[in-house]
Amino acid sequence: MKSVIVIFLFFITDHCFAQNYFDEAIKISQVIKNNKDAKSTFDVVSKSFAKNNGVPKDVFTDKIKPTPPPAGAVAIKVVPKDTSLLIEDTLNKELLRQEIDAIFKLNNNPCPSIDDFPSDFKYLDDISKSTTSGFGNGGLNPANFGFSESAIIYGITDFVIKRAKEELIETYLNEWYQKLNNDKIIQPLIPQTLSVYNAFMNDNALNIAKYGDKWKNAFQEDIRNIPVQLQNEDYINIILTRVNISNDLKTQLLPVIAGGDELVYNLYLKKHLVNILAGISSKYLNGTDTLKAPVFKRAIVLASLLAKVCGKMETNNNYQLENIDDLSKMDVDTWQIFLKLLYLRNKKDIEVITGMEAAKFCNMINNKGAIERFGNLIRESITILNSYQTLLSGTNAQTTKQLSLDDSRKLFDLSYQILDNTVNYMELMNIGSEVINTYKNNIRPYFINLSEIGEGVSTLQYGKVLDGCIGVIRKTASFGSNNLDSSTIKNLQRYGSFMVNVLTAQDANEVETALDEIVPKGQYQLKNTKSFTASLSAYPGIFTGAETIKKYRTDNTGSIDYKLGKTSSTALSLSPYLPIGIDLSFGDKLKVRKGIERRASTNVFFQLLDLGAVLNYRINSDSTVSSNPDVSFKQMLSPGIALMRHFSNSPLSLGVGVNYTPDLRKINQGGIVYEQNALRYGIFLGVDVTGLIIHSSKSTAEHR
Amino acid sequence: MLTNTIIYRDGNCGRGSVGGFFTMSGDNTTIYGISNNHVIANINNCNVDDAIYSANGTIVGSLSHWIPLSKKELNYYDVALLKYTNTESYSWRLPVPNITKPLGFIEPLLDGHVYMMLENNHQRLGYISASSINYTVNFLLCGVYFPFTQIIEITPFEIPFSVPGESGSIVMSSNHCIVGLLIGTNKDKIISYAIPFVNGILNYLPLLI
Repeated sequence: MKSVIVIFLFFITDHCFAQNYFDEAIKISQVIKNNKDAKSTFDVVSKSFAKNNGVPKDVFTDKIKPTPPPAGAVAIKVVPKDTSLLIEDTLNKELLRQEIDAIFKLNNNPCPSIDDFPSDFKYLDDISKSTTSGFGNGGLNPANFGFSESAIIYGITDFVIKRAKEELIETYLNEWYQKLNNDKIIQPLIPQTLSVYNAFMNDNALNIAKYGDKWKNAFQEDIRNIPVQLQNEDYINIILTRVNISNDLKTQLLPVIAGGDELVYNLYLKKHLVNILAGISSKYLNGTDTLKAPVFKRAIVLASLLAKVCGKMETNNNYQLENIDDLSKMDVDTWQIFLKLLYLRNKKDIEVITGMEAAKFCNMINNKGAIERFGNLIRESITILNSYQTLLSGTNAQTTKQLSLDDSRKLFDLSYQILDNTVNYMELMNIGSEVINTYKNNIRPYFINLSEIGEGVSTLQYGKVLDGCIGVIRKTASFGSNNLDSSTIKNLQRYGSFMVNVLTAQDANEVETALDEIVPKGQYQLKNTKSFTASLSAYPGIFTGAETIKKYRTDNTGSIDYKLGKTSSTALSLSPYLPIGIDLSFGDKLKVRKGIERRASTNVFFQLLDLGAVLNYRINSDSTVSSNPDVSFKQMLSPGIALMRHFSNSPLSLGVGVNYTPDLRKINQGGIVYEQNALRYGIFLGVDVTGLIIHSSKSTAEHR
Repeated sequence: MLTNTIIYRDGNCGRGSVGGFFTMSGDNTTIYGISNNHVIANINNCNVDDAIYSANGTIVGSLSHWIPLSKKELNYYDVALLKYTNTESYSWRLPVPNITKPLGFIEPLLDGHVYMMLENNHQRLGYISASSINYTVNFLLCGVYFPFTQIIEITPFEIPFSVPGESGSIVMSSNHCIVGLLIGTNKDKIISYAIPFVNGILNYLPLLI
């Protein structure tokens, strides 16, 4: 039942189109038959659109006799044709030509690989009608509405392969659920996805549509929720603890991630930056760590203070800035008064900014040089805020639902520029090089990832949200002493990519591609890495060696003499090889050569089937033995055993093996035809295609 | 006189070709030759009965009709007619001996194969890449730019399809019907342009083959 439900992910669109396939196939077949002699698409197109075949009639018949104009300039009243119709007409003819092209390619290739093959033939009716009338072929033949036997066989085979694929996918999805749910960093980021996952696993209902929409909604909600989750200080604490960040650094980094994310998220919600800064600053000022506030908090408080003095927030959410020209009228004394006013009205802010060392601010007030530099910094701040306001007013950000990529990037960049600008003030106040260095080394590096999250949410580019989130986690891990388990990042990247692919998928094929990518490839690497692995594998390749069959002895006349019994007949054998069976793999110890890790393994392979056996060519001069065996299921059953070696860091394997195929050869002796089993032994070269890992040891092959 | 041979009007900026021979309905006696306004009507600076000459200086006819060209508005036609003098004999230049004149008029079909006969009886071959262009082409005619649209676009199988001096030639379909009247080429001389007869010239000049 689960498999049936999973089908929707692949085939819901196909299901809608499936009912047209037979009708289309019949009409295409008819078109091809009726245009056997057509040398090019042009021939078919011309006939599809030609009003006349052969000689056209004269435009002016006896019934129409327009009056010849008098000599001289001929007056014309031109009514131009409707250009849109012209374009449509040209476009329609072009689309028609493309469809006919596709039909010809379909017919000419046994295994067509056609770019942009039409998902729907809009003109097939026109093509089939116009071409059939040109060749005198009236209508469709009802007897052609048939299922050929091979179509049924292929249909069943396709179904079996697809169903096997679904079962495999379901197994891997279950594995993914366990991995993601057990990771304390990933699990809080994708709660909706895991909830739907759980319900899907436990629910045997056949309601495909219900789960289809739920999956997509869950992915969307989770990705959009990432910036909210990153504001959760408890969650950030989990990450910081996991990577073993020192307590001092934890104090600094926690507000950067949470507060920085709060900043970009509120920008996404189209709140004005000045209001956002005021809100966050107010929260920080009422906090308990104002004594020696973390650097990021100081920067936010200072930025908010600057925004307060550089302009005024009006009721219509428009920020009115001070005129820079007015500042030129301020002399040093005036600036001094300005700074004193600033201090007296915002004592608490200044205490937080200076780390309870307000005297440093006062020193600045009494330093004329510092005052001048302060004036310049204020002008710089006004310029940045002005750019922000201009950008905001120029975009539709306030009214439409979505920012353009360019606008969102500029808004976030300017917002962080304002924060960067505060460092210059702190340097001026001599707050301390430690503070400045902490800002530059531990705080600013996060801005790019936080901006990416903001851009992604603003422009609905989910990939950016994920990239930004992974960037934040990775950056945090780089500050810690305990390396974050690489599987956390890898799983988040891989599964996140899968979520984004599903969200952006336009049809079932794209969803199928997304699911294909999440099924792990390169399983052979596991075999080379682990001490022991058992798997269900295939090794498509080529087999060469000897083949022995038993034939009856014959008398002088060439007739079979049963009393003499059978004798062995051996000949060289060369065949494509596609064995499927149980593979027991023993990983080699790791070797490192020239700095490159080299891993290989030795395998014992218990062969069950060989799909290549049907293509086995027997190379000998014995005319009684048929070279090309008959195709039947019995020939695919081919028990055997092989010993092989994986090449280093490669899925390629070289091996020796023996296998036994019942009734592989047909023998004709003296008019008596009978089938014989064949024993083959030789060497082969194949590619490891691991379908399912049954068991793998926890220990890895040791380092040499 | 054969079609697609050189003609000119005294005082005109250059020489072109006469495309074909026609009568008009109701008058079987007057034979008209077709060419472009810019070949024999001097981009509107002309008079009825202006003499038209062949390449060797012989008078072959006189100007009778022309469709005015406009510098400011879009043009759809560059056509003029000359009335042949009675002393001339006329024949169509066609590639097959058993066809003496075009089999009729045909509207331009997208991808339709076309040809144009040359004075040396060779052919230029191409196909219709647009039966009615939806963009504007500014032709430089006698030193003046005239914008044109809704004309036939022809892509040659071997460049070029047409060269200077061949303006006014008739473009034929592969089944020997008249498709259009040649105006000129684009800047690169890769694409040629013609005016359609059907739903074109014939709307204003009721010509009969």
